[in-house]
Amino acid sequence: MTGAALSLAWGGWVAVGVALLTALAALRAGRIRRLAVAALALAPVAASSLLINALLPAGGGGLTTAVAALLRLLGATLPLTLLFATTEAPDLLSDLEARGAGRRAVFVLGAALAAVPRAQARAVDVIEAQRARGLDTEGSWRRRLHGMLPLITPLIIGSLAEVEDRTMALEVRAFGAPGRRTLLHQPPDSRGQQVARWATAALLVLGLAARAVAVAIR
Amino acid sequence: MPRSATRTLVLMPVAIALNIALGSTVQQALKLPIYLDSVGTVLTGVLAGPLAGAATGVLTNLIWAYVLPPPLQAPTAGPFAITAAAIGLLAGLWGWLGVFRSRRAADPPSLLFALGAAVAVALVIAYTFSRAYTHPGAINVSELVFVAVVTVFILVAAWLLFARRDAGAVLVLAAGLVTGLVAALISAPIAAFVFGGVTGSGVDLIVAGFRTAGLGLYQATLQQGLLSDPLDKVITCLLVFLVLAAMPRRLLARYPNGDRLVRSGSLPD
Amino acid sequence: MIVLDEAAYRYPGSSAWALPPTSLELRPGEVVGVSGANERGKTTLCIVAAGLAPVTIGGELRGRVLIDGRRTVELAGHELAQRCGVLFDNPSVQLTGLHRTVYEEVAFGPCNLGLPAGEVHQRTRSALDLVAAEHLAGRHPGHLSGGETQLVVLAGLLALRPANLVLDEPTSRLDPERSLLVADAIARLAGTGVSVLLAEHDEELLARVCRRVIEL
Repeated sequence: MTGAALSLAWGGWVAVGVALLTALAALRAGRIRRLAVAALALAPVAASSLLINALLPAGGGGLTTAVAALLRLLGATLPLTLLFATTEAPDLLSDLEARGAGRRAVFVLGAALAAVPRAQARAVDVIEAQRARGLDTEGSWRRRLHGMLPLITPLIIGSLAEVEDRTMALEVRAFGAPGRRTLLHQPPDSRGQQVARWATAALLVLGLAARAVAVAIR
Repeated sequence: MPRSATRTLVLMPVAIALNIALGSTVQQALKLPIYLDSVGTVLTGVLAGPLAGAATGVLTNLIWAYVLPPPLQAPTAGPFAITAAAIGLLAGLWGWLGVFRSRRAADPPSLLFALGAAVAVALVIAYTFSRAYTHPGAINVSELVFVAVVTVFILVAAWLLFARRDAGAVLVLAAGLVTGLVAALISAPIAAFVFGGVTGSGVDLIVAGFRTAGLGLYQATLQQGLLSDPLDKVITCLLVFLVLAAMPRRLLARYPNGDRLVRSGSLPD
Repeated sequence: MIVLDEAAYRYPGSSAWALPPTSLELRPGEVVGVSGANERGKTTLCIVAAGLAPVTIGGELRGRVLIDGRRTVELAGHELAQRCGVLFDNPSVQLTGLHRTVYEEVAFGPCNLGLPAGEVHQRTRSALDLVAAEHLAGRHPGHLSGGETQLVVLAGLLALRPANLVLDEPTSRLDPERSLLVADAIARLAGTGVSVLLAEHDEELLARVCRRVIEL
């Protein structure tokens, strides 16, 4: 995360460095493919940006701006992607809670991750229904819109109704109880990891401060 | 823990998932610049207040960009978490003001109020557009777009007011436009700084068009945003409005903003 | 023990009384069935008896509802949870979706109470044992059948050691085989002294496990 923040602030060579470091770490962790896919997801933006900024440099855009922006983006995206690619969400959440994040924040994050595939499946059903009516290729934009809205509305209504049931189900499991929750798993935390954490935090603070100073001087 | 807090906590993940699910399917299916990836954010803001709405927006973008595995992962969404937060905050404001309350068959004062809001919003659009461009060469494009947007808005508002007598819908329309405007204003510098002014999709051609007309990076990005964001947000807000109007009151009443959403005795259980 | 004394309830924002003044007594170890065609009425009675209405979902309660001698309106959500568990008909919405194993899912309740780890483990194991679901402990909660899910949710409720249990159409989405699993669990529970209020449309099931049945 420090890498991401520093890339955004400094851009340029720092971002390149961060990106390379991340790639190396990904190789070691066996996650290079995931990182590559994320980088590829940025490709359309990259292509578009380079093209437009190279051809139409007026008013603040230009190849250098485009490249700088891209490097910033890459430097920001890759480390964060790696973080979530290497750490299992439940472990990350347990760790957060152990450090005092509170059961509510942990619940929201965990439940959101679990809810996405479900909601995705329902949305796909809507799309399939549209496709069955042949509306994705033939219909005019008006027909497509009119066809889709009556399908999306139940999706949203269903989500709200689900909230009621889930609220009761949570309360019945004493979710509203005060005080700290018991944590069954304590993720291991070696001395080395602690040192690394402090070092990165210091690096972050210094890096951001230096950038602020550089901007102020100019 | 206060009673409504658990409900809000349960709503947020559902809303986040809704955002991501709609956002990754609707635009592809409709082939229009309508994403509906803020439906959950607006819903949460209106029902549970600005902080919950903002949190929903921010978490949606962050999870979508970095936590989800491919093929769902969309790294381009990350930096726009700030915009999403703004949308959530605004939605909280609308909820608190009671904008999303159903007001069918409204009385003259309500209609006048709605009309006033519509005029105010039209003026805001005018001001924003006039600030958005600086290069004289671009004057025709911006003015055309500006006139078109205001005309459409006034036509739709008039239809809603007089043909459907639904003052609530006009207010929602206005709210959607303002939200869209703010979203565009906040997104433009983000897009310019982080992405070099593009999004990697078809709308970049519009940006290119503006740039050819001589607009600067920021202005071109802003113009593109002003074209697509208000449309998306207006439809989002109207959709949320429709959904809330169709919900039985007992499901809405327990939310923090619940009492601003239901007028006593007006809707069936 | 659950007592309803002329209890009437209406949902928030509603003018109609969803539950007309009702009196009911559920004694320790007793299994009482609630039948009738009115789905909404049965559900309302269930959540009023358990205290979820009005404590969690709001609304207005007239008359008194007492669980083990305490009025439901005077208790907080987590206190109610430890006195009365509630099982609903839809298995999947009752799972938290936060845990990778059934064991952790069942331990969720005791963990929320902040109990010492040793006690959490003990309660989780005995709850799984009570519903005969120990073999599911290592499985992922999302990969279970409807019936297995209901058993897991039930175990999760029982881990809080409530003396009362309200079941709202627990087998309506299950096939007959799975329904039997749940029915057996209910019978075993009653044997341990837990009072059970069972709302069901399945007459056979009601006849099997209930001592008496109330018609709504």
